[in-house]
Amino acid sequence: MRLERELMRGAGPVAVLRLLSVRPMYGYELIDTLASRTEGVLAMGQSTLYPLLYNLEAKGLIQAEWREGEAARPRKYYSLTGAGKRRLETDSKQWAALARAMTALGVIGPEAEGVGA
Amino acid sequence: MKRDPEASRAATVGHAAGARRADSSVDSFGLPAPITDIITRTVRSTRLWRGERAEVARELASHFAEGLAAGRSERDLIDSFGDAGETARLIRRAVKRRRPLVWRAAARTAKGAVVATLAVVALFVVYAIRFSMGDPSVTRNFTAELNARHAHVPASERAWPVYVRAVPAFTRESQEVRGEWPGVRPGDEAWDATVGWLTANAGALAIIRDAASRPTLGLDVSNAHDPAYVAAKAEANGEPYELTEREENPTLITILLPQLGEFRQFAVALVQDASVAAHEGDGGRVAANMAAVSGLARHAAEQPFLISSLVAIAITQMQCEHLMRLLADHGDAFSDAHLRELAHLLGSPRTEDALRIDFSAEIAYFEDFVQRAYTDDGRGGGRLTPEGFRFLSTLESIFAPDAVGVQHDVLADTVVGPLAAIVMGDRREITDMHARLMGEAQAIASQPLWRMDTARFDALADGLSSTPLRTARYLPVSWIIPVAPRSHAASQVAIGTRDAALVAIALELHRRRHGEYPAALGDLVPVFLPAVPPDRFDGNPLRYALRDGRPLLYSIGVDGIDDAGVPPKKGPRGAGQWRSAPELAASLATRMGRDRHIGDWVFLPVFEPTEE
Repeated sequence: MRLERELMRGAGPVAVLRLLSVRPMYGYELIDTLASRTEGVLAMGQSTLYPLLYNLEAKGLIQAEWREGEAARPRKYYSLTGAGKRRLETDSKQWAALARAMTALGVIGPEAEGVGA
Repeated sequence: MKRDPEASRAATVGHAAGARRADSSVDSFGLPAPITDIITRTVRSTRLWRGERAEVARELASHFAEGLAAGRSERDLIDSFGDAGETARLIRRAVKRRRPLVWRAAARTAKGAVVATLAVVALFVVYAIRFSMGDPSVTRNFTAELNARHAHVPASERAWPVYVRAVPAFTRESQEVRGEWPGVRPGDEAWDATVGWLTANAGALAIIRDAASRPTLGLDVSNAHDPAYVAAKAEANGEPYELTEREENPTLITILLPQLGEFRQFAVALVQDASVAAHEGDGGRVAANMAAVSGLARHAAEQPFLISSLVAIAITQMQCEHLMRLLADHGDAFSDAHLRELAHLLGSPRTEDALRIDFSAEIAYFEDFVQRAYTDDGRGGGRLTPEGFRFLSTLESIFAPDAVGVQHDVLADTVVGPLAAIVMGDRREITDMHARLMGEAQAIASQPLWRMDTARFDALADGLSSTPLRTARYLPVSWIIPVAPRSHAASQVAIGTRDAALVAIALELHRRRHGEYPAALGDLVPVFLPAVPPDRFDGNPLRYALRDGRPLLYSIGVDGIDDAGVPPKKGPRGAGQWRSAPELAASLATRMGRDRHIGDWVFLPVFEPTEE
């Protein structure tokens, strides 16, 4: 299942920030990881990811760095900045609150299994 | 996605250098041609800066290279890339956010400016369309109203057709003979030629006397001269005179007043002839000429234009000054009856009327402008029209001939016209301002010179041009508003001169009856003078004393100080010229000003003409 565009617009940045909080990653790796770790739910193409990365960079939440010689070809690695870490912390709390609220409402969790059935 | 080949070519040419850098970034990855192509197209479509495109191209190439290395097919990677145009648009938007703050601020400002400009242009276009649709409604024919005042007078009783018959005598060639009139006296180089001309043209002078004795001038004013006058001028000048088409309702500002110029030279000729007559001992001719001069002044003032009043005033002042001179030089030429006749002439209500300033045509000038320039909403409001905008140029050529005028073409009328309508006051605003100014002008004109307070009028008039915006806002008001203080002062000074001439006649009559001049002016009242006239500069009785048995008659003059009858170094006339307080202060700060204004305005004894 792929997310609606509006949901992706909200979830995509925090998902990328979360991945980059573990270690620096390059674009293809991010797309690959997002697809595999979320079973395709947060899969995004280049036309979505790279603008998203440039936006986060413009906001000062991530920074980029070309690395040559580590692999067969040059890769542009993105890593979290201090501001990015603080934003991830804030966003994570909000998503947790949202998840709790959705659970309480039965939008997610066991009760949601039958919704729409 | 279909691509526009022209746009593509332009983009290729315009961004060739950037494309080369982006291409080289991609080439180093050794990607298949279809992938290189989609990267190149995407990057080119972003229309980003050269360095930004190279950076994006390199990152996309790296991405595809990773995909191929991971075992994905070329087709799979291209399909998952999506639409190149949409990707380029998203990338462009995101990358631009990374640009420097200063650039983004400038871009946003420029964008705002463009939007604001477009909005202003759109508003202006709407306003310009509304402006172009404005139409004034001309409801009054001021020229017809003026002419209606004497419509009941039969043509045979009107003075103007008679005056016209004297015009051919005043040829261009004779101007040389008449150049120093009316001050040519026996013994002067020009005396013989003067007497010769006056003798040769005695018929023309008789015609003028006849015309001046008629009760009404009866000139139908118009934008065109009447044919008889045109023929007379052609005869006088020896060349055709312009005959223009007569309009049914001409703009009041364009109507012609040919009588004023003619009356000036008629009056000068009559006064000069009076001088010759006095020399010949012909007091009757002097009195007849002076009566004719008064008739000229009365006829000049018949039209309610300010310039008409000023000409009447100038004629009367000249008449009185020269009458005092003739009395001093040739007193014996006048019989008692002549002197009484002259006194009654100068003291008559008709002379009084001719010396009064009339602002009614000035108000009509303005009302005529407004009705031709503005729309009329029926409640006193209205906006400037294209016709009014063009009318402004007519006014400008009359009142501000040195100003840089607008050349009226389609562009000027379409762009400058609406701008003028925005900047200039609307109908109600300029009408109210004009009414306030004219109210102050009338207040000034109702006061004698010594009580004349011009402060309110001056402040209001100065305020019309206190800022460039106000100058533009009240342009027609400032153009049309009369120079009220100076005009009224000219009237008052002429009345002062007339009063002095009446006193001079009374003194001569007293001398004849009692063998000496009176000790005080009060002795003349009531037999020779109804009352002692006031000094126009302070309201006290005119100053009088006997010096060696001869009368000394004077006003304290413009400087307001009694100098015991000593005139300014440059002669007495300068002391009789009114100046506002600031003008007088500025003048007295200079040597020339002091020589001209410090001293008394002396009527008797009569001083020699000065270089003034």
